[in-house]
Amino acid sequence: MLSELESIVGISEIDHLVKLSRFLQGKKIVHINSTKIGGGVAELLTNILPLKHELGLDATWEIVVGQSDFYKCTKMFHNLLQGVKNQIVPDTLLKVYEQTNEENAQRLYDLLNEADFVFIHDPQPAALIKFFPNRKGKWIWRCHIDISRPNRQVWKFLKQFVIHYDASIFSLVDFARSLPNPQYIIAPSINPLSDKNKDLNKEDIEKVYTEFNIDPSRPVLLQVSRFDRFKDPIGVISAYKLVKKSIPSIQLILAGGSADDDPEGSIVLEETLTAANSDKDIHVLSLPPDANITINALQRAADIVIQKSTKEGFGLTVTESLWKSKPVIGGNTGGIRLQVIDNYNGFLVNTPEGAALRIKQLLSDDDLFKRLKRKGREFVKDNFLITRHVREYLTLLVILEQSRATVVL
Amino acid sequence: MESNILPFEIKDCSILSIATGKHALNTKELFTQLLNIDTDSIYYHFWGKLLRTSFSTPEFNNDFAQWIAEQIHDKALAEKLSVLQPQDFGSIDDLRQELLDIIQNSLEQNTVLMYTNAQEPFYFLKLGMVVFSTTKIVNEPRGFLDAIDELSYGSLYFHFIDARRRTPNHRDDFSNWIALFDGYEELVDMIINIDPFFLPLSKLKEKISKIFNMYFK
Repeated sequence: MLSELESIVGISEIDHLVKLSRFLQGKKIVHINSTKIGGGVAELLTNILPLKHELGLDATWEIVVGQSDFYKCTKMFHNLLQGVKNQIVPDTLLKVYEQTNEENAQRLYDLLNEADFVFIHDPQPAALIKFFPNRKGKWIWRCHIDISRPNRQVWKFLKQFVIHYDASIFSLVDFARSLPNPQYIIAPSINPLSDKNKDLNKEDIEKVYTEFNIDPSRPVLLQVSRFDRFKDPIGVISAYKLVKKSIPSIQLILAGGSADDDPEGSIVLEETLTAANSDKDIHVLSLPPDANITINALQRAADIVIQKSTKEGFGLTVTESLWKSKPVIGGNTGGIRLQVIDNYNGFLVNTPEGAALRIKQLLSDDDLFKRLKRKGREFVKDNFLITRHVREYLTLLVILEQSRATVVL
Repeated sequence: MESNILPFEIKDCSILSIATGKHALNTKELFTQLLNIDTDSIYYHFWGKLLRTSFSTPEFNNDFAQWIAEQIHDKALAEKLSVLQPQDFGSIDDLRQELLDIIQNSLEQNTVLMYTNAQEPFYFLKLGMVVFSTTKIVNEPRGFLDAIDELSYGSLYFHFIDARRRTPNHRDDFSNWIALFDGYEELVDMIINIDPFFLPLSKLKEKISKIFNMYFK
């Protein structure tokens, strides 16, 4: 993997990884999240762990498990932290949350108590730290979601756990909260060698046209996302309908799967199908979690990729599409703003009307379309590949190990 | 004397952005935060741009000036802040005082802008850095001819930019080391005269390489 990555990012970037990892040999690193299947965090860890192993690091990945009320509670956290209003998490669910964390703490006690570094991803396992008063290592809370304007009740509840971590990591500085621990800014990444992003041959790409009954001679819009209201699939359909009035040949694919820790996915999928109203040019695809090559092919088959989220921690599908040289029309929010630079590799929009305008503009101006296509891949190479991500994680671990912001090795 | 000069050890660095938890929504708040903000944060907002990828050369060459121009739309203040160069000041605290003087003067003259709120806040960040050895060394000034072309951007940043806050004379590591040798005054002057403030690291590397090539070939 390292040698293949070197051919993409250059020897200097790989050299950094090798040098930094030398200082972390023998250290036990554990990552904890709430699912191994579905969603951006699971995908990131699937990519990062093998690279850490190849660097000789002792890194493992565990998940917290719970009953349906636990996931109901953490989904409410997710929604409320990202700005959903007028909801309160009942005390009964908060108790289930703490109890589930306690049960998982007991199950994982020896591993976590003795680990040198523990990465806790997102709110689901954040309370684990409470049950490790004599922990040996440094604990890091890695927040992947947009908590720039969190619900006060939920944030106050979570903060009682988060303040005990040795450091926290946010994808954007805008998401950082007032905390007593140092807050590092580290953007996520994609693995250019994974099934989701590796180069495909022409046949693999053409296969998706047949499989999903898509006409390759007509323009294709694509949004790949879990069926989640923050991803605004209904807004994408509204934009498509506005475009359809002037470009009747347009086709839309809404492709997504579900995550084990997301109990609302099926409801939002139903809402999306209702909004699609049996339009034969709208293809709503509910894909299995391992449909990585299919998603890769769909992204390569599309003319324009949309990620019209209203809240977005980062938006890995944006990075994936830019890597495939596709212009992206993204919601003007969160991590999408870090990736889509207006009129350079895509457009940022605030409404379905804005998305429709930009789709029409791109489909009618060939020069603009070609110009935006060219820039995306280079931008991802410089900023959002797994090598930069792992380098920053390793840098953070060395800094934490030495307890200084500037470390000379 | 020259036989006692230790070889130049090329180092590399990996950096991280750290949030300070402080932000400003308008010029008045920027002024207030600058009174006490960590000097590391002021340093970051003058030099950090070199380590970030950008599509185009920003109109103004430090983050404070760029934010004032983009978010507060006070071009006059942005121009005044933009002319500041950290290497012209004895310390970051001296630079802080100059920043404060300029902003205060502007606030006194233009009270309307005092409370003009930005759409995007100014977030104060600072740098985390791990420095490590590359095992590459240069034994005499001519050795830089090849070494410069092989430098990573991390090495270039560490020796040419970060050196300015580490060294007593606020100069880069290359010219300081070459100055230990007799007869290289012209080369040292050429290196000192490079103004790194307006160049991305890729162009800075080209420029340094060109100087060594001109001098030795």
